[in-house]
Formats: sequence, C-alpha cells, structure tokens
Amino acid sequence: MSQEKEKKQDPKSALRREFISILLMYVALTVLPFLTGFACSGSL
Amino acid sequence: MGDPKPEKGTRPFNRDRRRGRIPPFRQGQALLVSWLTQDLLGRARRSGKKGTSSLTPTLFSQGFLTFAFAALTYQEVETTAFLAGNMAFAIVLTLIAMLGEVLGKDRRKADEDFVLTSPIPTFVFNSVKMVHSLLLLLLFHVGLVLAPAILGMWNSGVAYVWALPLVSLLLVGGLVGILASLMELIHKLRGPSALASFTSIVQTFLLSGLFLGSLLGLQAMFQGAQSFPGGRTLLHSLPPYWGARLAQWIVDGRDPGVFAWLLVGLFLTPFLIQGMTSVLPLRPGEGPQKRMRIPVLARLFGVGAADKGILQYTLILLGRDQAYRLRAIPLLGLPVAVVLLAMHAGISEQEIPFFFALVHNLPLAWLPFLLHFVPYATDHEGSWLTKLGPEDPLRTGRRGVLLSFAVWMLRLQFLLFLLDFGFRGFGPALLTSLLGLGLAFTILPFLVASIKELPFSQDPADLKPPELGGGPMLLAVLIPVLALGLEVIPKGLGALLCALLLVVGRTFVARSFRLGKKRS
Repeated sequence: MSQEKEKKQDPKSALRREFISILLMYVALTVLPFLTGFACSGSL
Repeated sequence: MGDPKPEKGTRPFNRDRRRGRIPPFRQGQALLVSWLTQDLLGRARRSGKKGTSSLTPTLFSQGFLTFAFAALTYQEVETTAFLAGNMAFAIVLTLIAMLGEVLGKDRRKADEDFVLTSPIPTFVFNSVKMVHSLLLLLLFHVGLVLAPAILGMWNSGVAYVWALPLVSLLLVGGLVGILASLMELIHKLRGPSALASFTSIVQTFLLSGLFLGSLLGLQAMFQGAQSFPGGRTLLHSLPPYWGARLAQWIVDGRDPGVFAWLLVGLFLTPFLIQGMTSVLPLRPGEGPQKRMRIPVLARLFGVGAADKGILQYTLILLGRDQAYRLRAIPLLGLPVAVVLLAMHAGISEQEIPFFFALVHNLPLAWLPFLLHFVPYATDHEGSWLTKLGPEDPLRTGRRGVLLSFAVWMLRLQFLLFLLDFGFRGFGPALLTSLLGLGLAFTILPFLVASIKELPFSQDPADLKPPELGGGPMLLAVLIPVLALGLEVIPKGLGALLCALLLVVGRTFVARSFRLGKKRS
C-alpha cells in the first residue's frame, strides 16, 4: 500500500519543495536587513 | 480488464512515445529537472537521506555572511566603496560555489556517460545547459546580494535596491563566463589533469583572496583606498569597482568613464575565448611522460627502496588530488596571510623575533589539520596500491605520509629561512628555522600515528570535520606558545636545544613505521 503511494508521487515534488524553501530563505534574507536598517535609523 | 487509465499529465508524453519521438521541449525539461535535482538534492540522496538540500543551508549561511558584511559597512562608508566592497564579497562567494558545484568535474563525467549518449539534439543540450547555469547562478547570487541591496537603501538611496543586484548579476555572469570558457580552453589544450590544477589554483586564489580581501577591504572601505596594499590603482583595476561605477551611472548619472569600456571588454572576453577554443584543434589529454625523481632531501632520513616507492606515490597523490589541494593550500596560505597582515599593520623592532618564531611554526600548528584530510581523496580508489602491498597497508600509508610531510617541512622551512634572512640576517634566521624543523620532526611521527584511515581511501563527500577541543586543536594552540617560549631562551642554549631536537627528530622520522622490518 505504501509502495503504491510512493509510486504515485510526482517526481518534481521534491524539487518544488526545494524551490519553496529557497523562496522562504529569500524572505528571511530580506526581512533581516530591513529590520536592521529601520532599527539602526531609529524608525522602529 | 483493459489498460489502466493514464494519469493526469502523462498523456501527451505517451502519445509522443507511441509516435516514436519526444518533443525537444520535453527532452529539455527532463534534462533540466534531472540536473537541478542532482544539484539541489544529489548530495543528500547519495548519502541516503531524503528531502534535505545542499543549497538552502549554504545559501542561508553565506547570505548571512553578506548581510553581516553589509551591516558593518552601510552606515559610514561612501557609496562607491560600499557598492564595490559588497559586490566583491558576494561575487567571490558565488564564484567559489559555481566552481565547485556547477563547473565541476563530476558533472562532466555524468554528461559524458548519460547525456551525450542519449538522442538529444545538440541545440537542446546547449540551451538547457545555458538555462541551467543561469538559473543556478541567479538562485544563489540573488540570495547573496539581497541584504547588501536592502541595506544600501540607507547608504545610497532606494534605487540601489534594484541597481545593485542587477549590476552584480551582470558582473558575476561575465566572470563565470570567462572562467567557464577558460576551463573549456584548458581542457581542450592541455587535458583534464591540467584543468583540475587550474580549477584548484583558482579556487585557492579565491578562498585566500576572500580571507585577506575581506579583512583589508573592510579597512579600505573605512579609511580610504590608500590603506589597501596596491592602493587606488589596484582597487580601480578590479571588476567590482567597475560594477560600482556602472550602478552609479544607472542611478545617479555619474559618468563611468573608462570603466564602462572595461566592463564591455569583460563581457566580450568569454566570447573571444570561446571563439579561440572552437578554432583550436583538439590535442590528446596526456602530456609528455615525466620521470619522477625522489627528492634529494629524503636521503637525510636514509630511505630504502620501499620507502622511495611509497614516498613517490604519496607525494604524487597529495600533489595531484584536487580535493586535498583545495583543503590544504588555503591552510598553508594562512601563514602567508598572517605575514602580509602583520607587515601591513607594522610591527616594532622588539616584536620581530617573536613574530618570526610564530611564522616558522605556524605550518606545524596547521599540520594536524592537513593530516586530517589525508585519507580523503577524489580518487579514493587510489588506496588499492597500498592495500595490495606486502606490508600492513596502514603502516605503509603512514610511512609515506610521514616522509612526504618531513620533506615538505624541510622545503617550507628553507623558504621561510630565505624570508627571515632578508629581515634578521643569517644567524637568527638559521637558528629559528632549524628549531622549527627539529620541533616538527620530533612531533611529526606522533601526529602521523593519529591517522586512523588508510591514506586516499575515503570519499571527500563523507568528510568528518576534526573534533573541536581535540588533539589537533590543542596542538594548534600549544605550538605557537612553545615557539614563543623557545625564542626567549639564550642563544647558546637555543643552539644546543636545536641540535638535540634535530638529532632526535631525524631518528624518529627515520625509524617510525619502517617498512621491511620483521615484526612479531
């Protein structure tokens, strides 16, 4: 049963998940400097 | 029971297969997906893990580094220096990653075995190769320049949020193009071994450049270009400065002058090299047969015939192995970096003897780390030779490593002696060099005994980092302290100690792990 489930998995799903995690990484790397910039300029 | 209903999304493919052909777009898509899967998930899958990527953690750690670099500089540094410094930092990180992952040797092998033997049209293969390289470059480099671009908003203005990544991407694209076309040229002209040497030299240069450049560059960003070795002339001749001027031209309209033409030249260079490569005839990869000579210095240890064989084998493998060179050369480059930094900082007369005592012994302090990498080799099947030999393989391997490093230490101390001689004169330079050598010979057999795996028998992908707080770390701390201590003892006593260490060390090296000795 579990084997059948694995067979039906999309081969690109791992790659898709990977792209989503890279995108999330971009978000983190965008938010961090924004916070730093605002905090250091005293607007936060 | 009829045929099962085809799954969603597979019908066109089956229809094409029935007709006996696969559309080029499908072929390209499949190739791109498999290459990306290999790049992003290949390493994890080879080691049996599922769903863990190699790019995401690298991207985060290196993205964080560029963020830290930008955060240190964005408030007090002038716009051109900020743009050039941050672009240089991100570009070097990307070039190192691209050189290792994308332009690497493994990909060529995989392409030769699987892709070039498949019926894929050349234009599909080449276009997918280009899209794939660009996509990886984009994915990685955008992550690295995000933080400097955003922090640049407070430094230079909102427009730099898009201008900095754009120029940086153009620049890194051009540089990767030059590198890739040069690699192609060298591969065609001199064969795969010359290509491996070229790659490791470039990688070493980039790694050492990153270490030294970020330290000196940071100083130059705050204090001005004149504080950088080579000054304004050197900084202005580097592509990141041209990129910074281009970004300023796009945003502020500042005339880029000659730097615009230099950039045009940079973008044209890959095409020029590519043109040359296509015209040149393909030469066989094998160079002329070279006769390997045993280093004369090895005779100091009274080596026998078996020793000569294993020494030659170990020296060749250590010298030629790409994975080893990539790890070892940057470590050896650190003493050089220390000297350069100290020269730049300016040291007083009284500090010079201690400084040279430290420099002479830094290679020894790094030795445990270098020895840690010895079992890992790109051609890790190379250890079959020692496995088949008449002696215990580990003993043979250790003997080869011991003799090779003893020879290397001799050569290195001679070079350091020449450097020291120029500063302090013959006597003090000779004494410190010989003290360093005696200390190295005495400690070396104990260090080599810590090699638990057969040299050149492990895959570099399975590298286990040295333990923090373990023996190597302790030695790295103790040796510089010991070296400084030896420098304060009186000269006469120093000479006596030096002679004693040399005799003991030479005996240790000559007698440890001896081959051909009868054992019970």
